[in-house]
Order: sequence, then C-alpha cells, then structure tokens
Amino acid sequence: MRQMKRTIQATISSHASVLGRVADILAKRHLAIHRLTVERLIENDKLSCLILETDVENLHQSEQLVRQFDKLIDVISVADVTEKKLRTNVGFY
Amino acid sequence: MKVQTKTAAEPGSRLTTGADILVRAILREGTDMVFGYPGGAVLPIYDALYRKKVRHILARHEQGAIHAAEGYARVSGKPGVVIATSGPGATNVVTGLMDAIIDSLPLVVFTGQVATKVIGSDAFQEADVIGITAPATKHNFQVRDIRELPGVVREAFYVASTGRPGPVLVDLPKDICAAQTDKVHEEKEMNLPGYHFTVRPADEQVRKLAEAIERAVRPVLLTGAGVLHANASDLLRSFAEKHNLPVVSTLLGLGSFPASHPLFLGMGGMHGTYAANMAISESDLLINIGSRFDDRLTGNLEKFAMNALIAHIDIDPSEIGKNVPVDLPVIGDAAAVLKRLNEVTGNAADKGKWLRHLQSYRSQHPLHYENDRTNDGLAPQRVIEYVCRYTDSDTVITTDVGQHQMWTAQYYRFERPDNWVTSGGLGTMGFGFPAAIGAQVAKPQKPVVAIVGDGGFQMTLQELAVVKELDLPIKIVVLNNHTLGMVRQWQEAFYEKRYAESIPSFQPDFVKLAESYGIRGERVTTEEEADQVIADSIHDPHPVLIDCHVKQMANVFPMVAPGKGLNEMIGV
Repeated sequence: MRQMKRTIQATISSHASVLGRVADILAKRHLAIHRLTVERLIENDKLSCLILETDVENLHQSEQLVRQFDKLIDVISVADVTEKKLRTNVGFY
Repeated sequence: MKVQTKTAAEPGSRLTTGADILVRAILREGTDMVFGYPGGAVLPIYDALYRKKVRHILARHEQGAIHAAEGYARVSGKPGVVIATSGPGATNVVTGLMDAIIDSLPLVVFTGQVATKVIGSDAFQEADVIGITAPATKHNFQVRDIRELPGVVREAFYVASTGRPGPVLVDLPKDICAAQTDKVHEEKEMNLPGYHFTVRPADEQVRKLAEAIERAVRPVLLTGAGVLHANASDLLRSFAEKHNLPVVSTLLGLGSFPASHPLFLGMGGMHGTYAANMAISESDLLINIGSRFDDRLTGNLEKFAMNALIAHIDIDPSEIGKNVPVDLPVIGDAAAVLKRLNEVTGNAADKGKWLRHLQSYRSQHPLHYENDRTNDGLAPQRVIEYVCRYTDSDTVITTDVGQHQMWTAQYYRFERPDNWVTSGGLGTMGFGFPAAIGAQVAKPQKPVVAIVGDGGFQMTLQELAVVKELDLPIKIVVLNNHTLGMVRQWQEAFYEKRYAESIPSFQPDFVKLAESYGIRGERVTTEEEADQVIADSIHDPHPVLIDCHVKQMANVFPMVAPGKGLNEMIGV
C-alpha cells in the first residue's frame, strides 16, 4: 500500500502519561512512529513541543489523526506541518 | 501548609482528610448519589462517605455499579458517579467506561490506587489504571498531591458533562485520601488549556446548510443521540415540521422524535425499517444531527446515500468525515444549530411527492413477524408489543444487546426523549439490568422496564440483590429463548447452521432465582399468559421478574446483511 510521510507538531502538557495518550491514537490505527522528539518549552516549563513523523495512507487519515490529537485534553494545539518549514530548537530538521 | 498522613482526622481537629475534601467536592457538583463497591484502597473514601450525606448504592460487582451509573446519567442528564477500589475494582469498570465513551454518557469514576510511594512496584491490588483506561475515557487524572483534589474533581465533572459528554476517571492513591491537611483552597479554578468545544455554529456553515435545505426535494433527517444530549427534541420537531422533513432515527436516537409522528419513518440501519433505509438511499440531502455514522447504521459505505449531499451536525469535530465524506459540516451543539436553522431557513421546495413516495414504502413494507401460534410458541416481538401496550410514554425501557434489543427498538414506540437506555456502540451484554437500577434511582416516580435476554441477564444478575434491598419496582422482562439469539441467527444465516456454543445445555430457573432474592417471579409460555401477566404485573409497586419463554428460532428481520447497502434489505 502506498504510504505518505507526514509530520505532526503539537504543544502538549508536560505531564506523565501524555506521550502514552498520543501513542495510543497511532497504535489504534496501526501506525508506526518513525521519528519522535519531545522538548520542554523554554518560555513555559508546563508545556512541551512534540514533533512526530508517521506514514499514513492518505491525507484524510492525516486529518483524522490531527483531529484525534486535538481531542486530547493534554494537547493544547496540533497541526500537520509537513508542508511547513519547522522552526524549532528540537533539531531533527 | 501542614500535611500529615494519618487514617482519619481526630475529633475536634481543624485538619481535614483528602477523602473529606473529595466528598465535599463531589457534593459541590450537585451530586448526592454514588454507585460503588468498597475495598482496601478506598477505605478512607468510604470512611468519609460514612460521615456525609451521600447516598451510596452498593452494587454487587463494579460492572453493575458503572452500568447503573450509565443508566442514571442517560435518564437524568447528570454525570453518574462511581467509586471502585484499586486493581480488580478498577479493571472491572473498564467495560462500562468503554460503553460510556462510545455512547457519549457523562460519568465521573473514582478509583482507589495503592499508596504513591509503592506505585510501580506491583503492589497488592495495583493496576496501571491510567494506562488501561486512557483509551476508554474522555480524560483521566491521577492525583499526586492533596492540594490538587478540589480542582481535579471540578475539572472531572466539567469535562464529563460538557461538549460531547463522556466518562472521566480520577485515580486516587490511598495515602492522598488518608492524608490530613489544615489548608486546602477548595474553590480552586479549573486549568484546562487544552479543552475546548464549540456550542454555537459558524454562520457560514449554517447558511450553506439552510440553502441546501431550501433546494432539496428529497431530504431526510437522521436523528442521533446528540439531539438527546443537547435536549433538542422540541427544536428538532419544530424544524422537521417547518420543512416537512421525514425523520429517520439511529438506535440511540430513539425518543428524540415521537414514534407516532407522521414524519417519523422509524429506525434506520441493519435492522431498521424498509422506509427508513430507502429514504436514506434515495435522498438528495441527508442531514445527520448528532449521530456518528456507525457501521450498523450505514451498511456498505460505498452504497450509502449515493445521490445525497451529506450534511453532518456534530459537537465533536473528529466525527465529521470520519466514516462518510461530508459536504456540509456544521460544528456545534444540536440545540444551538437547530435553533439557528429554524431562524434562518425560508420556504423550502415542495416535498409532497417525496413524502407520498416514502409513505407508500411504509404501507407496503411495514415491520412484520411470523406468528404461527399453533406451531412453536410465543413470538418474542409479541412480548414487546404487550410491554408497549401496558406502559405509558413516560416509562423508561432498558436493554442489553442482541435480538431482544432490536425487537425492542422495532416494536416499542418511543414517544418522548430520555426514556430509552441501551448499549449502542459497544454492544455490551449485561448492560440493561443494572442500567435499569440507575434509571430507577434517578427517576423514582417513573416506571422502569428492563428487557433482557437470557444470555446477557446471566452476566450481571447479581444486582437482583440491589433491587430487593432498595425495593426498586423494576420489571425485568427476560426474553428467554434458551440461546444467544443474535449469535445463533448469524450462525444460521452465514455459518450453515453450525450453532457453535450458542445454545447452552443448561440455564437456571429464573423464577426460582428471583424468588431466592425475595423477588416475585412469573413464567409465561403463551400469548395469553404473556398478555395477562404483563398487564397484571407492570404496575406492581415491587419488582417483578417475568421469564418469557419465547421461540428459539425467531430471527430479527428485516436485515441488511454485512457488506450490503441499505437498499438491499432482506426479510422486508
């Protein structure tokens, strides 16, 4: 099956178990995480920046992923940033 | 700030325990009833409950407690509150959490946890409840500091009952509840920066839908549980009547539109009416209000409403386009959207021809069932018709899942909202009977009838003890066909009648079982007996179990077979 690489960026609460919730959403859809970074924000130590890369089947699936992430109460904001140039100090781009 | 870890505050002390703070916080949310089961890790909470005026319904299994809380939530509109102990107590509520999240029922579930210092050490009755319940809850919390308690409880109730409702779990380590403190800010503000929902729809989305409604010549409304959660039944009715829109209901949406209304076509989906399914199949505009396009409703997606513009009104943006591509999305609360639509829509196209066409489907292909009385006994559908005949429209009906559930959905006529309690999305056997307990304690004045199968009833029948203890006047109608009916029906249809494990060789005597709990039990095997016993017992001020021996081989029809479209029904 044809796969599309997508990059999703989220601002998340710096709590225990948040990463598990995010990973659950991918696991439920049988999606593997190919790259992952989480880094606490310098300007607000209660929040972190999460960037992950996964292969989806189509853009519809990517949109659904973003909406499911957005439902998580520990996710403050989320977007598919594949088409954008990331400005982050996390460093895998 | 002074925090000590003791088992209880001493008399006269200014200190308060975490458990006391918890109970006060629950009371502050307007809840005075909890469903639960005690255990080691929640002993401090039960000690605090002992001192406070909270009504506690002691279930006989945590699954019974949480299904009762679901029934309470469904008919009262308020969050059902559950307390369970750590480990097995917590894992026993997982089915109920999953059931509640898929059917959007507000619950706040408090689970005990081992003391903070031993979490992660595989301590006695320890389970990773946050990990286990994360996918089964709208959100879950573990409290690690007594000062967090009031805020977390407030957030839990808020999240459970707003937006798309759902279950929230709060995991409470024993030492937090037993800890004492002299200073806790109990009116703490909520801190939920990542929680947001849209009630009022965007004008542009409403305008586009209004234009489509004015143009449509074959429109149909699909009403789901979202209409009930939003208390929007009256608005739905005025909207449908204003534009002469035929109405199809989902399983969970039954009661949101009166069954006797001329515009009502019945339930759609796998065991829906022919008229309902053909209306969807032939429509040019399908307006889904608060349903999630479940696969049991849509049938084969490739063949679903192929000629229709699809409008979807939902408070949960993640439902839009999840299963069915949507042309006209409207994000918002069903009541807010319907109110706005009623304001902005003008004169619509004439629907006379379309309505007459659907009426012909309805009169040519009504629901029907075989009833050869000389042959093989009591028709289960007949029992539902008797229950419907002898109860008024204010009666709460609960069911499990399976054949009895479908026959109830087909043959009981739901005229009013919030009287129908069933396990829709998860399809949970054992749900209906404890849910009836929750419904009855929420609405003591209403008649409550639990319609269950002999299979599902055996999964949670230990709650008969609660019914007797509280003398709840619930009527338990067991459609007893000595088989797991829906499993057997599918084996008959799709597995060449190989009835693997669906016809148990033994079952208990349900009448004697009821009597062993001190509950009146009746057995009926004929139409005459069913008619007489249901008429005679339905208004008994005490509980009654009616064991209805019905045809074993009766099947639920009509049916959309798996993989087929809604317009390919069999048994019409």
